Amino acid sequence: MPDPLIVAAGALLQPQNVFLIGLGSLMGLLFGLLPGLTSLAAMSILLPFTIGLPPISAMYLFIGIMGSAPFGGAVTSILFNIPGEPTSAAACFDGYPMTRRGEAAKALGLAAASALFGALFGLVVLIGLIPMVRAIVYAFGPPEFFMLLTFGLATVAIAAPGNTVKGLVTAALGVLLSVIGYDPITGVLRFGFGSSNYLWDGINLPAFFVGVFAVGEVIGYYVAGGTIAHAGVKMQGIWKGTLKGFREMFRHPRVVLQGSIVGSIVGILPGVGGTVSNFLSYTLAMQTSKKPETFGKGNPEGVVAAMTATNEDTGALLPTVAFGIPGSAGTALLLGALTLHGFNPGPLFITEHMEIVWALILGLLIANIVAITAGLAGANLLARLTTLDVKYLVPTILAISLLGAYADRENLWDVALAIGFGLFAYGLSRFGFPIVTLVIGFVMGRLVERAFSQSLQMQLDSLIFFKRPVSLTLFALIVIVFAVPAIRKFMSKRRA
Amino acid sequence: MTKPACSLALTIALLTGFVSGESQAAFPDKDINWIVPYAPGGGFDAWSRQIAAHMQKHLPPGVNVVVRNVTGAGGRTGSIALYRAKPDGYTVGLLDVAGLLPYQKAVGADKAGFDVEKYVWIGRVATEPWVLLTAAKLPLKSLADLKARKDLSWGIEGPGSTKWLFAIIEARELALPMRFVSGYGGTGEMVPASLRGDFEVWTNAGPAHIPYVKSGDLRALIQFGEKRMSAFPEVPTAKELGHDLVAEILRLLAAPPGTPADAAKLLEGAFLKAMNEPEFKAWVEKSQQEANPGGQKEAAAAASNFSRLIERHMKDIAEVLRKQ
Repeated sequence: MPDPLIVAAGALLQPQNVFLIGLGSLMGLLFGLLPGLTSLAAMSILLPFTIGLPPISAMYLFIGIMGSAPFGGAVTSILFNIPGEPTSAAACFDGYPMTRRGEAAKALGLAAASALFGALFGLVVLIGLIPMVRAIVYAFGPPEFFMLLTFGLATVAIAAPGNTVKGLVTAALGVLLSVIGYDPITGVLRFGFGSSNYLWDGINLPAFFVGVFAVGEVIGYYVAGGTIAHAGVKMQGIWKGTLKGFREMFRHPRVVLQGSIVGSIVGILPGVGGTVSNFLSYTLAMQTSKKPETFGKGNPEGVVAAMTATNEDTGALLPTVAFGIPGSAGTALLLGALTLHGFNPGPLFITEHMEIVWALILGLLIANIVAITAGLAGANLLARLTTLDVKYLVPTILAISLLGAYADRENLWDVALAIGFGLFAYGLSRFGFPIVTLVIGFVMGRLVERAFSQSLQMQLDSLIFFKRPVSLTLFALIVIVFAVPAIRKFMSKRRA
Repeated sequence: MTKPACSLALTIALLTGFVSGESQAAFPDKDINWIVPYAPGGGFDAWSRQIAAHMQKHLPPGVNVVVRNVTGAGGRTGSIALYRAKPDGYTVGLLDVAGLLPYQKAVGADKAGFDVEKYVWIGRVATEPWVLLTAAKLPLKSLADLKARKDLSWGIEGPGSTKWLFAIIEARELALPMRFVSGYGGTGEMVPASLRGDFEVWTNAGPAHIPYVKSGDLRALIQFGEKRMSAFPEVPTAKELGHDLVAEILRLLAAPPGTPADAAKLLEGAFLKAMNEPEFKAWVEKSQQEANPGGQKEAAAAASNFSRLIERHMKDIAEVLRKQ
């Protein structure tokens, strides 16, 4: 039997597979760009059509989508403050302020470089850690998830510099919104508001994101008028700016590494979604920064942190190929496609079908390169839109976004929900309540609650969080991370 | 498609259309919709796509079987959509009967939005036995080991899920202690959770756990089929251990209530031929599924057997729910 790498690479020479990976990458970019329409939707739509393809071709198509969607999502985050993908939502917080300063091209270059670096890092991790995947998956049980997510939630205290109280209010609101629907632990319906099944599965994430980001934002545009990039600010030269962005990434090695590691770990762990990883990375960068108050105001580190962590799907490939266990919703669909082709992936999959694993690795590389070249070329055209009068942009963005909210599960109520949350989010930001913390609370609330209940159910021991080494270590890290800035402040005061 | 098969299907179509005498054109003269109540990427989706692709070979030329995923509320949204669809034979769906019946019995058919007994059955796709699983590193090796325990933690997805339901049924029938660790997002999360020791036992049906048992990570303790599965020839069935319990996941193909008998019959014929295609059988074997093809009669029998099993345990289920 020929070497699996050669089989996978050989398949890449077939025109059909070149076409499929190109198609996948472009679909990933497009679905990534459009708010509400996620890469998951693209994969679900295409999954049935792969039934007639050889399995390796189906993998090239899917990995194309997965590899290119994060950058597609970042483009709209940065240019319009509207995340195209939930997994790149955190790129809004600093990318958009950069755009307003006229640094759109730089922010895009920075995002592209970060996404690419994250993916490369993820691939190295993937290849290097295959023998250790079990140890990692076993080390993180519910108590460890709880600590990891607690860290994310705890950072809201500093995620809203200047108005901590308002930040806590919206974070708590986010957590409350996240518990709507069936409680996964007791099966009790919470806050169903009498709806006959609309709210049973909780608030639909894509519709929620379209609401608080896209709709809320366009209301803001409309009220403010003018253009997105501040009037009078000169747009940076496009290619020069992009290059500057690429170079900028290398000035932040700590954040680059941090983000890549967070993304990889969150990816490897089954049960924590990709939406969490970019927020976790963002809040970690903010927490470890010497100037946390510059975050949310166009600090390039914010973009780097959010985008390097989008390598979550690369990390998720690790348990998927090495263990048959999907690390994310995207890789779960990948496994679904394999089932459709008559595989039953398990721990022996990697030894029996190494060619598929290589196809995924090669595909991911190519997809990232396609996404970044095609994406940057296209994005820089889109960047010109930010100098256009918003009265032309508002209706267009609104229509595309609401269509996305509808398309996710073809439910008209989702459109109403998006509009409602849009008005609400506009009101919040009008009165100085941060949206960041609302979203962090919403994304992490349900997960942290679930991990907490599961931990207690495991051995009916309420001190379980402090009896397991990994969980205890994470707890110590949380304490340190929060104590250090306070101590530093105290020391500098005493010295002065 | 081969010519004889094609003309045979056409003849049947013509005949049934003629005999019923009501329609101008023979049934079917347009595409058949196949509802899957779960998202792409799952077992119900994979079975549906495979069968639909083979089934349309046995329908008149130009008639496709179009699979649509109508998801939400744990499979109920799609099942309700099927229940309310126009009963003209142009809509069918693959139902997760084990997921639907307990809910219906608990809240009543009116509130549930469907009545499983009123669907028109087309055929039985599979009856996959539930298997009681544990991590191989744990010292639980037999039913006796389980019975010796005073406390036993069971992993489940969430109350109302089929894993929850069958955990209750198995624990009651085998007289085992039961305490839940709940909230997992599916089999993909439960395999690693079981291996890292979040809980001691769990129960699953379908092929997903088979590779882990074969690799020695998980141990299958008891299986609940009529007879031993080909994947686990050495694992005893509950029946062999003296417990009269058959628990299987039911994948039954159904049409809306009121679907004309001749249309259902025609679909049954095409369905059974699809299940018999060598290419389809090869897929079943390769992906370690357990097909159990049957027609309208077998599907109806499977549904009513299951209904009796649930009725026997409604009290236990209600008790568990009350305690929470």
